[in-house]
Amino acid sequence: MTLLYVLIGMVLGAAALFLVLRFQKVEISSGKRAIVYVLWLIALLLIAFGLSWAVAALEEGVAQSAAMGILVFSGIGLIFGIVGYRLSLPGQPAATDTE
Amino acid sequence: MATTTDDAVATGTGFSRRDFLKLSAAAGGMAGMASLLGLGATAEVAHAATTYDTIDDMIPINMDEFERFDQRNVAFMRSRVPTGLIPPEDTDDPELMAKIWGTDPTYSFEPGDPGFTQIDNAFYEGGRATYHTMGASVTGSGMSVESAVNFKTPDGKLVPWSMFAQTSASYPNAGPGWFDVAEKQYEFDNPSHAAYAVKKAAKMFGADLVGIAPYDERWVYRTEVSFPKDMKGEVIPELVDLNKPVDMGFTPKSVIVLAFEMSYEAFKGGAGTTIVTGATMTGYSRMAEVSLRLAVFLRKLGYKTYHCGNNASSSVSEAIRAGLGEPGRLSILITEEYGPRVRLAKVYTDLEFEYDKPKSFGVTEFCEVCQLCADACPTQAIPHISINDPENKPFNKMNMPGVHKYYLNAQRCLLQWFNVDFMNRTGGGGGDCGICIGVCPYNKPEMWHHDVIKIVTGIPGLNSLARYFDGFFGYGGIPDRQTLTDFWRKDV
Repeated sequence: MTLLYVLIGMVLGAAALFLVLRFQKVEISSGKRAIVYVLWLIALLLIAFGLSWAVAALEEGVAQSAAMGILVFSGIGLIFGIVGYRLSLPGQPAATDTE
Repeated sequence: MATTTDDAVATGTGFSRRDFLKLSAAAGGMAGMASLLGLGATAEVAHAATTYDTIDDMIPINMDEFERFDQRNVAFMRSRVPTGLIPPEDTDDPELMAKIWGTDPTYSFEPGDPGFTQIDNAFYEGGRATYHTMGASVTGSGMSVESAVNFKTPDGKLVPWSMFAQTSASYPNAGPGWFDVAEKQYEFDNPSHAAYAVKKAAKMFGADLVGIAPYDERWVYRTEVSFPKDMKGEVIPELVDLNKPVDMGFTPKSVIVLAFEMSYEAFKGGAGTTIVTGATMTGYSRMAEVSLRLAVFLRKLGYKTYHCGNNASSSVSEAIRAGLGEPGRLSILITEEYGPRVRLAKVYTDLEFEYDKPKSFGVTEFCEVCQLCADACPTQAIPHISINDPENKPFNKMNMPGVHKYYLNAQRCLLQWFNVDFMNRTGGGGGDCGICIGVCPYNKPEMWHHDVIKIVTGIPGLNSLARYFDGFFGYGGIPDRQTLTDFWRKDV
């Protein structure tokens, strides 16, 4: 039963953060939109999972597990998020020859 | 608010009512899917198992090599050789046995070491209080090695005193015949009803896990050991019987196996010391209490019973047949709920049930790659080799032959358990070790994040990852001196 609540919390938390991001004015080219959203979704789920893991491990009394949970799961989620953010940035105009 | 995405971008608001509705629907749908997934994941995936019709379908048994076990070959029995009650056999390793018997002066624990202090011993003695008071009531021969202190009845018959007490008129609320089987037999609706009712009673009486299997004589000891004692607690040598047939007084049809969780904290913070012995003995006390309660319950329903602990039959084999778990590398039962951190008792009866099935949930596959118990065993009693290795075979008569399982060197295991000289000097237990149980990755409290890892261990190819992550995440360590010193002062 607890696993159910954890999963619901992760999904709702990720959905709430996703909604917040959508309020921002983000222009993503249509070709990259899907992959950016997928990367963000994976990132948010992993970050939420890592935080949930840490809380459970602290409740258990194993601080090392809590720290490793954040490092491994949320850390990997952060990487996904960073990649997604970088992809969402508009492309830089090509350098022109000034001469 | 803009109504379309284009309007939102044009007006700079970035988000429209239509977008909000779409995303809300998407979030709600995801929550709904997660609910269904979570329901399934929690109940089914975390405890997914393969069931078998019989133990023979699950574990290959070579009936040409298999022999029913004699209790005198249990490793604990060999430790009685110095008393002269059990003759030495050439199966004994003299060098190992000298250490266990205390005749090797170079081998001992120092009393007063953390984990072996007065408070640790007091925990051990408290744990076994009920067991030693009641244990003799669990059949006349006791739970394992110990046999009953006997009362001599007026007709000269020797009866274990606690069995005598159960039917003695001196008990105001019991009285003669209290333990008798009721004449009127209760009729259950069907075998399924019988199983449900008995399991419910067993859990209400205090069992943590209950499984029921049909009777199979192969797993009952061919002979057992009886050490009757007099009222001073001294063994009556002329009555010692090393080859006593197991006589339940009737032909059972079923065996109810009860599992009792032992303290997670004791094995986490006290493995290898008398602290674990206290947790183990607490388990024995619960075995004695609950098996007796269940036996009386069945007797008052009109069914015959024979309740026992370590004696009478191979507890691990019966527990596997009753679907309580799978054998592990450390040669004891591994349950899904508590890992190897359980004690087992049995109640044989002539009542028939809808039976549980043996099940496996990936333990053998995981044990093949894990080997944490073998690495941690201080006396190297647990093998590192594969279960399929031709060298994986019985060490001596202390192992049951013909069964496809990991074979433990029981004498090496006992080295860490007790040293007779140490026990004589301290008056307490040497320690039931339990390091293998403490480090086992299956030994975890019931929390959701451990259920997730159970799911991972069931995925082929991820066993190694789960094994190494167990250590990286801080689990499975052996308590150090400071932890043992702090055990009675704070959470460790």
